[in-house]
Amino acid sequence: MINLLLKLSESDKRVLIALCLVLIILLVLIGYLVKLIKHILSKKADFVDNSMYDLLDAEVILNKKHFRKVSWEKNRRKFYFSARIPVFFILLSMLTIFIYMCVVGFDLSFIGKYNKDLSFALDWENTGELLLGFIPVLARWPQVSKVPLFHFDKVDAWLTYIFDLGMIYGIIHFILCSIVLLIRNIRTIKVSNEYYKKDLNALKEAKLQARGVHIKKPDEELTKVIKEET
Amino acid sequence: MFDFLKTCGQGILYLILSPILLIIVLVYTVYSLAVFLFMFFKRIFMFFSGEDMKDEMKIDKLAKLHIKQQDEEDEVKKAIQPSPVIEKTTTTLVQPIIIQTDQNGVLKSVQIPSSNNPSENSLPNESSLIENKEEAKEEEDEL
Repeated sequence: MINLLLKLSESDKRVLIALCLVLIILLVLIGYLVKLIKHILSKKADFVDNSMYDLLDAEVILNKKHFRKVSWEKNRRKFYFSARIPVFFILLSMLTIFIYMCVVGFDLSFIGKYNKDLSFALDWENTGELLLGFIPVLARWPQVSKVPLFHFDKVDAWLTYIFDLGMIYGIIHFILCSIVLLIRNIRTIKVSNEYYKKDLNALKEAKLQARGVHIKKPDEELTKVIKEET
Repeated sequence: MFDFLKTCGQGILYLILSPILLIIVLVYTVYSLAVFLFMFFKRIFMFFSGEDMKDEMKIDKLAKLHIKQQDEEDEVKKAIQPSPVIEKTTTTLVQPIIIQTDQNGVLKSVQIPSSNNPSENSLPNESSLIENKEEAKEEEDEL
């Protein structure tokens, strides 16, 4: 009979427990990071409430469709003014490379070459073992086989570094601006649905109050009398 | 403990959903680039038509004007309404006039208290009572 039970040594058990703890900590960190991001985005989405408050107070918004049209236009304008700076940096980076290429020649290979020199490489051989035959476990730190190389004496290297910095900053900031635009547009839809919701209970109460109907419920004694009679 | 497990669950959920969220964000980034270009050309068009995107929208100006008009109307209404004037009041005690009649409704006596002397007000005057009785009898005989 084949023995299907796994035999774990003490060190294997310790490694498994450590891996589980690391996984749980990682999940908790991701959960708290998500909470933080949600909190920040909800603060950004408050722009919709602030921008539309006076318009709804003055009753100049006609209906849900009008509300969304005006709010989306405000969101687009706010996005445009906040996204100008990263777009400027992206265009500036591209313009510097373009001007250099106009002088030297249209050959973009120097960007790839200097970016490759900036990277570093790690040697992962003989760093770990396989737990239970398939789980890779890190036993030793990897060796650094290649360090980043900076060429501060060359003009095209400087241009490559400026281009990289400008593009990285511009792209990250632009993505953040577009996420904020997305959140505000979603908030517009949510607020318009809530504000213009046709609530039948509220309508019923309003009509009853207008008619002057007695809506006060009978007290306990009267309720008892009613129950006895019925 | 429940919050901790909830946070762990959210972590697992967003770890699984992260590729989908990343794709949505990248697609929306491309859309927002198009929006940016559209707003860029719209601003140029607005510049040549005499408007500026940095200024408030027309509807904002209308709303502020409307609110300002309503506030002014409310202030005018408050100014028109007279404010309550507190006057010095004097309280006067009114003694009750006691009218006595018999079963048939014939007047028997009327007690009118005098304001100066409170002792006179409390007890009826006998002579006036007798006179009133005689008058009442005369009236009955005539009838």
